[in-house]
Amino acid sequence: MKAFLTMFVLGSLAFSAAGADDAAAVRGLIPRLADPDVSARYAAQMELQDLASQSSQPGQAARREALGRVLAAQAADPATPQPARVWMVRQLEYMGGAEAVPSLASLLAGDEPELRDCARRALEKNPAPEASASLRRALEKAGEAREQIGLIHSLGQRADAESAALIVRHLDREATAAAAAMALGRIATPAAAAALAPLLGRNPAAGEGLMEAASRMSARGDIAAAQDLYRRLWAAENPVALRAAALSGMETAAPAVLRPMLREALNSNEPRLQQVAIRIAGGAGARFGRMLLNRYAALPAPARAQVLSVLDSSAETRIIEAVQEPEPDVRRAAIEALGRVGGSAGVPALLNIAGADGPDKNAAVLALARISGEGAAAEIRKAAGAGPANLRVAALNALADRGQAAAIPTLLEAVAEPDAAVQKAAWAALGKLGAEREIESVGGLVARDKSSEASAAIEAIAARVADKKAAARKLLALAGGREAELASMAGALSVLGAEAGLAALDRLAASGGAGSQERALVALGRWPTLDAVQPLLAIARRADAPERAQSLAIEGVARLVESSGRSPLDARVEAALAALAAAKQDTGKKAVLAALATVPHPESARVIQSMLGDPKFRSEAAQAGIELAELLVSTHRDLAHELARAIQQAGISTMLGRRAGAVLRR
Amino acid sequence: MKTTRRSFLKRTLGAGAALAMPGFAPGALWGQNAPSNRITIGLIGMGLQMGGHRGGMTGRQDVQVLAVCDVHRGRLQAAKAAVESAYSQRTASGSYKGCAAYHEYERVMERGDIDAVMICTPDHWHAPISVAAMRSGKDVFVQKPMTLTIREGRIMSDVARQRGAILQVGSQQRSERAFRRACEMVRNGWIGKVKTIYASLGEFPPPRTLPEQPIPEGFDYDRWLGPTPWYPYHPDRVKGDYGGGWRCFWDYGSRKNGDWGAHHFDIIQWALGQDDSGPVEFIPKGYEGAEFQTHVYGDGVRVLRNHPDMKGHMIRFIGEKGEVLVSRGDRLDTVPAGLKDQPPGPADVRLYESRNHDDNWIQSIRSRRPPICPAEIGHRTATICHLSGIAERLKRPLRWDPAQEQIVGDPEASRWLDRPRRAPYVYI
Repeated sequence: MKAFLTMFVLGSLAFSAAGADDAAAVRGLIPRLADPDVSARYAAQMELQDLASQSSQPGQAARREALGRVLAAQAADPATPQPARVWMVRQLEYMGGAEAVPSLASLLAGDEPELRDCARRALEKNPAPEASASLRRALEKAGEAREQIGLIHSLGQRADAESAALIVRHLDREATAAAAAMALGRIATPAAAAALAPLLGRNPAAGEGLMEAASRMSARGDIAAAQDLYRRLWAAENPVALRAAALSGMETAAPAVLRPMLREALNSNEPRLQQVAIRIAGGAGARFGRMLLNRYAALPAPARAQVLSVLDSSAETRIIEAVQEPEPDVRRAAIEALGRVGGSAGVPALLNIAGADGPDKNAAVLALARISGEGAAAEIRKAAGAGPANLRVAALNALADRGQAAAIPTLLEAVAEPDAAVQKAAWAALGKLGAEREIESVGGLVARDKSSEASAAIEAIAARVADKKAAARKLLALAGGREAELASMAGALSVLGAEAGLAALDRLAASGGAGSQERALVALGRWPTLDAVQPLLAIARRADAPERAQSLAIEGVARLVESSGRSPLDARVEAALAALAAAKQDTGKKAVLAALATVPHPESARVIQSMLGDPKFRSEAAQAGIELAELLVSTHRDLAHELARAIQQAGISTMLGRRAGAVLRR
Repeated sequence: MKTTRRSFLKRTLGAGAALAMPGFAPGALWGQNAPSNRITIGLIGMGLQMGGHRGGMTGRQDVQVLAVCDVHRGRLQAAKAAVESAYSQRTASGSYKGCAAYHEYERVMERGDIDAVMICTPDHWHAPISVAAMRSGKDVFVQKPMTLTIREGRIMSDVARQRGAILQVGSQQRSERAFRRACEMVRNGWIGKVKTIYASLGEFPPPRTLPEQPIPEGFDYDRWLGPTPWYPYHPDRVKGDYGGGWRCFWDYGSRKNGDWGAHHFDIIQWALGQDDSGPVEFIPKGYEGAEFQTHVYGDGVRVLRNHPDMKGHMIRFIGEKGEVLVSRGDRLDTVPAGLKDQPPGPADVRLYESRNHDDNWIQSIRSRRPPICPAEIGHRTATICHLSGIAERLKRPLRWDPAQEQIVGDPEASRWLDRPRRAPYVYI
């Protein structure tokens, strides 16, 4: 006990010391809160806000009260400058208690409109019951509509039952009727509701007030009163939005008596009512599910589509029928519903749509990717293996979209099918689903097939492989040094980026036939490192290289320079310069110029600048130059400026001149 | 959409005025979309953000902009002229005069021939106008963040649900492929259990106290301030500016938490499957040495704001088995890298797919089916923005009960769940 008393005394002393400090701090802030230099007030405002925040922390009740008293007293003191008073009352909105009410009440009765409204707002949020009394007194005296609206609203926010009679007086005045109706709705006593009820249909705000009252009555368990109000609001002569709200309200207040209202809403010709009814019925599961299905055929198309979106798997048969309906929105809703809840029975319906070129094809493709009810996956796999070609294609695409890796054996068989469309779809699916373990089996098929679809598939799988060296070895073994087989795997070898693959592509580029050489050159140009530069340059420099091969080789080097951002800048520049020297055609030189623009190196700037004077390349050189200058300006400012000046002097275009100007300003 | 006789008549009568104009040919204007099939809309808040929406809406054959609304007379007239000019280009006579211009949003609500409104005002007007629109039977597109306060969000969500209103919040990242794919990967556990998420929001300059300047001719400053506290006019206070302007001030929003947080926190909610719930704790930067503003979900997932190691992305999900990194411009990266190319399996959760946020709203109005970012989702995301802001202002952590939507154990902080409104702009 002694220890407790000691703690209490120490605690009180601490609070009292903190309270004295806070009071001093407030007094010290007043001149700064009203600083003639308005912009200087902000720091003082934040200091006071922090003080209010600290004092209102949980467990600081005494300190909060002490500060509340100080702020209220200072705010009510006419000697305190106006900007300081306003900011103090703003703090009281969030931390003032009973101690602040007398001062706030005096401000509410004062002459200054801004302070009056500030005080009203602070009283509205004040937890002390006596705050309501001061607001009521002010409302009795208030003459201006603006002020009355504020006071009525505040009393409503406080759900102050004692003010209901006072507020009712403001219902028949145009300026205050809406505020009064809403406030009475928030007060939600029987008397408040009784005052509003006769105005339903005459004062638009009365309906909203009654809706608010019904909702509050329902929340506090006064179900009979809430039901009565909802029934009034449900009356056919009321606006549709209000009727819809009443229907929603009944969902919570009286679900047991909801059925006839739902039926009426579904049978109405109002989309809003039908929408709310379908939401409620759909959310109730089996309870109203039969009602929805029974009325389905009689509903307009948008409502049918909504019903389909809330049905569960037990209605799959009905949903399947709906995919044939004439209205596009309904069909699409049915297709989506099958994707959501369908099983094996829904798959053929979706495949028929996905396998045709109709307007619902995309929706069906999406639904097939998602359908996951009982037996759906097996049904799709079965359809991929046999049946009409268009349905098999749709099923193969679905397997790919679904990431159904278990179907890979089916795909490996399908790539050998005679039908070209089936084959193509199977390759595409293999490309999406195949993994490292399939590299050999798919590689073997690619070596036999050699089509572009097969090459694309093995390339896609190669991109996902972890052990790239091993995969490259396997593919090279499958190709067995044969030109056509090697060419069909060129893209995959490039993606794998293994040394053995580079050597094989080098040989293919140097000695293969025209088609194989081109595939090898393209693959080298997409190599992941600069290691492919030398084989490409070797082709580019060969006097007997066909024009097409020369061009592909130079473009390949340009692509490597551009894409090898992590390689040393010197190596990239060196490769570009070598390509520029080897290029025999202007298109190749232009490609290299564009690549140089991505290499922030002094040599790049020198070369580009030197080509600005060449009529054949000045336009491309200027474009490359401005891009390089923008890249260089943060690291090599002088160089960037020199390049920009040269571009400006070249006078290629206004736009480039502007960009050069922007570089020069940095 | 089923057209009732009443709405058809309303629209036909509404179109009557336009039909009387010389050279006006509705067929030429809206192609096959007869008046009864067109969605008629009003645009409210004709500033910076509305520009793109206005162009998109006037370019549609299935939508007709009937009204524009702004508190700035010059901007209002310019918007009316822009709408009419867009439609004039589609008439044989080259002339069209059918777009009303209103200074007060209440006049738009009175128009029974307007089906829906787009709201691109500053944040403090979002809720009052949205609620008024839904109560008058209209559908709503409202910019993000959906609200200024948490209580406003609860009201908006309830009103939308009760009235069957289609409300789309302008968190358009939900309609971008990369963000949806990122969320699907996280949701389906492809990177294992997510532990930490980084979100890059940036920073605004601090708010300021500004000296009074004369209110420009034709600008209704009192109405611009609306329910927020009165301050002397200064152009920097009301400026629409992505780098500052009104967005810097607490009175009109939650600063960067409300601005970019409304985008990135929204995506994080989606990825974590928390669209109807939210975090349980909010820790401001600096509290007991906290290096980053943080919010924490019930299962321990921590979201850190402005962590420097974003690897060039806007949001970085870090899981036990990998990472998902995502940004605007359809940028998606994963660790391991191949993850992003892997198709979802049949058992994987597939999220709502929308490819165009505005179009998704229009299609939802037509079908009466939910849009991709309805009010409840917008409210839950805005709640995170606001609670982060409240914790920042109070400089203390907050515990949050997302089921009851209450701050736990801090009655004074709880007062921030709503803000008192300046008279006479008190309606919500």
